[in-house]
Amino acid sequence: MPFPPGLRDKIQDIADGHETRLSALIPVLREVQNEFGWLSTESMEEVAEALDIPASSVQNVASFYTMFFTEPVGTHVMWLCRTLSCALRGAEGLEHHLCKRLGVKTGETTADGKITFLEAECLASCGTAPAMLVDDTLYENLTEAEVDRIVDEIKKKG
Amino acid sequence: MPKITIDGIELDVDDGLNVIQAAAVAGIEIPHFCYHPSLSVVAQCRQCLVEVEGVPKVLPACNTTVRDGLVVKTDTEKAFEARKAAVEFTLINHPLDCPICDKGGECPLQMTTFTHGPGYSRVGGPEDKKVRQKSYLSDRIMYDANRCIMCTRCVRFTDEVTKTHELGTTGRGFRKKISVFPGKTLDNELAGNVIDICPVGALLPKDTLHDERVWYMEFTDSVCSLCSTGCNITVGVDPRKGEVSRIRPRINEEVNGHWICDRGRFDYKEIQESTRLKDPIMKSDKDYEIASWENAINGIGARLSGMKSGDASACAIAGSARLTNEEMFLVAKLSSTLGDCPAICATGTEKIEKKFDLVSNDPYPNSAGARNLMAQANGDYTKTTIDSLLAGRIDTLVVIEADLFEMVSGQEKDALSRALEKIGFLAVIDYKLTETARYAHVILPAASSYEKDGTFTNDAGRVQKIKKAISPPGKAKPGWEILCMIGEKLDKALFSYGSASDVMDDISLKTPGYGGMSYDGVGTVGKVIEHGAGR
Amino acid sequence: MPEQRIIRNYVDRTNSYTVGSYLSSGGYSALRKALGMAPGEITDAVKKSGLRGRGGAGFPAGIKWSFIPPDSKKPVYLCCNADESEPGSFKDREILEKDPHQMIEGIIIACYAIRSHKAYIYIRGEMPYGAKRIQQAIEEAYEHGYLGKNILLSGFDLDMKLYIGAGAYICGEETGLLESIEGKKGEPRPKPPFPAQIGLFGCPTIVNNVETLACVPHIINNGADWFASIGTPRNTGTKIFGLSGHVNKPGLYELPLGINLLELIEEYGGGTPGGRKIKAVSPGGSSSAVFSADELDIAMDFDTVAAAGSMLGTAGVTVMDETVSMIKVAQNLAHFYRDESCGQCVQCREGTWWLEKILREIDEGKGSIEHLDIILDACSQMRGTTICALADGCAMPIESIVRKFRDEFEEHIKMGHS
Repeated sequence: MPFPPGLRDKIQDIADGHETRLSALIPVLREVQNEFGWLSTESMEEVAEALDIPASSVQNVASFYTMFFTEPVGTHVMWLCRTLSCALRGAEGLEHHLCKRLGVKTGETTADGKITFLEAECLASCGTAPAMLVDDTLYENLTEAEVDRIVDEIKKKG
Repeated sequence: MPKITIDGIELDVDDGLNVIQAAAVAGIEIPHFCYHPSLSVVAQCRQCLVEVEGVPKVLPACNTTVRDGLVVKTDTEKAFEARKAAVEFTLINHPLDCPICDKGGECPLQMTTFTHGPGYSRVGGPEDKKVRQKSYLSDRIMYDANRCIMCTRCVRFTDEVTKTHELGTTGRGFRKKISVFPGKTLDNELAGNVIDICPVGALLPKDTLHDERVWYMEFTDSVCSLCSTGCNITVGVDPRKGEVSRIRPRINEEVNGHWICDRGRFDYKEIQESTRLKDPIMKSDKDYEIASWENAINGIGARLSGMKSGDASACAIAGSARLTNEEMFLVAKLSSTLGDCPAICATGTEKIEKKFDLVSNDPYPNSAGARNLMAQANGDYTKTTIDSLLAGRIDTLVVIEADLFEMVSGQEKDALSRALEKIGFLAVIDYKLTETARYAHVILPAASSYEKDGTFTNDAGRVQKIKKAISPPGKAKPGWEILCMIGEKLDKALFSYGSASDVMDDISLKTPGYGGMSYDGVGTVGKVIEHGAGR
Repeated sequence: MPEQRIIRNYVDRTNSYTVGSYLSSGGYSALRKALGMAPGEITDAVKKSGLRGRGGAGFPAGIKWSFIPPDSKKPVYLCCNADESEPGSFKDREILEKDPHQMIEGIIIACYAIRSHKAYIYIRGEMPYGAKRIQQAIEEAYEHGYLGKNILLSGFDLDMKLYIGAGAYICGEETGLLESIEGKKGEPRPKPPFPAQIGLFGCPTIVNNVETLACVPHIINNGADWFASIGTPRNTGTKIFGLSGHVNKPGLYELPLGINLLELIEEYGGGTPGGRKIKAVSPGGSSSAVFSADELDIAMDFDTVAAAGSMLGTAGVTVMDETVSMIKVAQNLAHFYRDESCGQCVQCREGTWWLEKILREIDEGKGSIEHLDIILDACSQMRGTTICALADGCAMPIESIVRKFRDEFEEHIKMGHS
């Protein structure tokens, strides 16, 4: 799918604001992912062309960073922290609970395509563990009731 | 020059060397996988760990530059343990399938495992390792991610040498692998070099998969004949098959560095598999017949002896810059013996342009030699001679390793056919059946560049040796030998050379710029002709 | 005992993140003062204050700054490392979200000291809220003339840019961070060269942690001697300790360096839930060697913790009580490092994978006693053999867990189940 003109302009703006074309890559990929939800082969090729960098560089970077998706994901992405401090405060139980609630295994997307459920490594919320990042919102001091409420909220939001 | 000490050996070394290079000067080999002298240093494989006095940690020798007073110890227990552990880590997910891996026997990882490894595995069996899909980076190159140790030499090759950037690493950590962008392939002209620089059997030529064992192979140092660069190569012959089965680059920093192009690497098959001439052939009234060398040479000798006293301009010899210097010299000598009959030569452009500093726009290996050794090897003269041929003024023609149809324009091809149909005598010497040969009265089977000795002068004026790696098929003979046999029919004393090397000795006496040139002098890396000669 | 708040002084205030709030508590006065000093004087003051890097390594900040060649022909960069990702650490996030101007003022002063005219703040992608706050704060600082051309009419120019990561622990390593800003995979660079010589875009660069930079305005305002008088002689100033895991009052506590670990857990953290026995404590982020219950009577400063075989690191203290399986803890950590290894160095890429696999098998009851020696061997060869310290960060805690809780491992292996 070719990029809409607005996105192209935005990419050029981002590129112009950086010291090198390559150094605009991560912000540009974020912008493209915001637009399409993930980074397809075609998107990566377009980015490579727009920034005049090799397509392989785009793919390498996109696949290196956890927050870039090179496969389609749901409308919302739910990152539950699994690392030590959260694990000590019940993250594993929450993970089981969420999998059951969403009807998915970790790493999968719900059948309605709304939520992709992923494990995150430490979200720097150890003092308020367990924690979860849903899209741009951090939820802390989670309980099963709280995550149920969050899931309901998302489902309602669509 | 910094003075350094390695394992107690004191030595002065060049500035800028790293410890791997400096140790090599002292005769100490430090094992390594990611380091390559023609690529940037990434210090990733962590195999070249050594101790440096004053530094508590072990350091990678590749990223340690020499400085005055540097004291390196490669032989301490700590350094040995570190390298042993590095081997163990490297082998954790390496399949240990050496018995079915084409790299076996010439694999840096295998060798380093023998010299530095623990000698046993604590990981378990294949079921305890990551298993990943094999894939193809191109039609020619297979990638086995299981064997890959992520040294990234191949990635750096496409980033730094060809700058084509086809390869990269995708994923992070243990998920990392070498990748090409979806829908793309590794298809630059130098791509095959990644096979050589891969320190394991992760990148292998698809064509010869499971078909090659290094210990069966016999290697001959030679020079590529497919363009004017004259890349140094090693020709591998599997005697069981009796054919060339691989061409690999031979390091010559003055010519090709560590690389060769894919034509040089893979096109030996074309030469090997093309319709090779194996016997002398003579045209009788009705048909072509296999002849003995004696009869064929006698036939040519008789025809040329007749010309010798007659009109030299009705006779011509045509060659190409595929000929060796020795063969060109003999062609020129034959021409003068025949009263200066025209001897022309197809050569490439003098305006050399190169892709990747390697692949030349002159497809001939010896255009420079032709200009040095065949006084008439210039375009104007060649054109005049071809014109006389087309006009029917040439009645006797010897063509050696050239196809006249490639020397004329498209519109002239018909005229050439007509002229050759009417020509009184045409002898063709070649390793394959060319278009020209179809009109020949005598065809002599010649050796290809893998099957004979000789020298080429590359576009930088460097004289380099090609060496016989394998015998020519059937009764074929090297061009220089055939030319001598013909020459001897005209003047026995003038053409009695025992070897191509003898011819070179004669060249050195008689050719400007080639003074003092000899096979010994040319050695393994070639010798540049004296300034001002030739080109 | 209350905290000794310097950096956290205003975090509880409404709108603490705005320039207005910051100014009302004397914000940017240190900048004004610093711009009246010679750059070298600032570096000297920071050296004299004894401020050590708060990102984990504890390297003296002033000395780091002095590595920048004073006559550099190339531009000089300063990068603020806001990639806080070390498990157990959450101190920087508060500064980023609640008092960003403090850090920005610190960056401006640091840039003036090292003659840098371009600063980057590299924040991890998982902190969208922090990123929003920082972006707003940068804009406010421009509006008020603390950034841009001719700052406060001093003739000093500085541009500041926020760079948002995309999910990679390794970008917290300073050269991984530089690679990431350059638009590449965050793969740490072999050293030498060090960033002070060849850093961002090939230019001399300093990378400092958020908390380190947030200390700078206070040092300028109150003097190096004042800062040096807090804490202990070689470990000066306050430190933000993060308490997490099995404590009743997890959270951040700003206290002088050298505070006793038991006191921190008991007095400030309110002890463990249900008063259960402490089994182990990770004193400085997950990369630090764990302490067993009998090692907790220790001063929390860089040198003392190092002398005890661990490290103060980020001072993210994770408490584990007696209900915890140390096998699961080790496996949890190995999983983290395995997934976050960039994959360059073999000891790290393969070693973290191997440790995770063995620890998982032990946890699942498929282990053997020999595995324990393999773990210790692997850990020992993962330390000090790689480009960066990630492999060390995996090896140190796991080695300490297996050594200190070997009985638990052996018993578990013999029982053959989890």
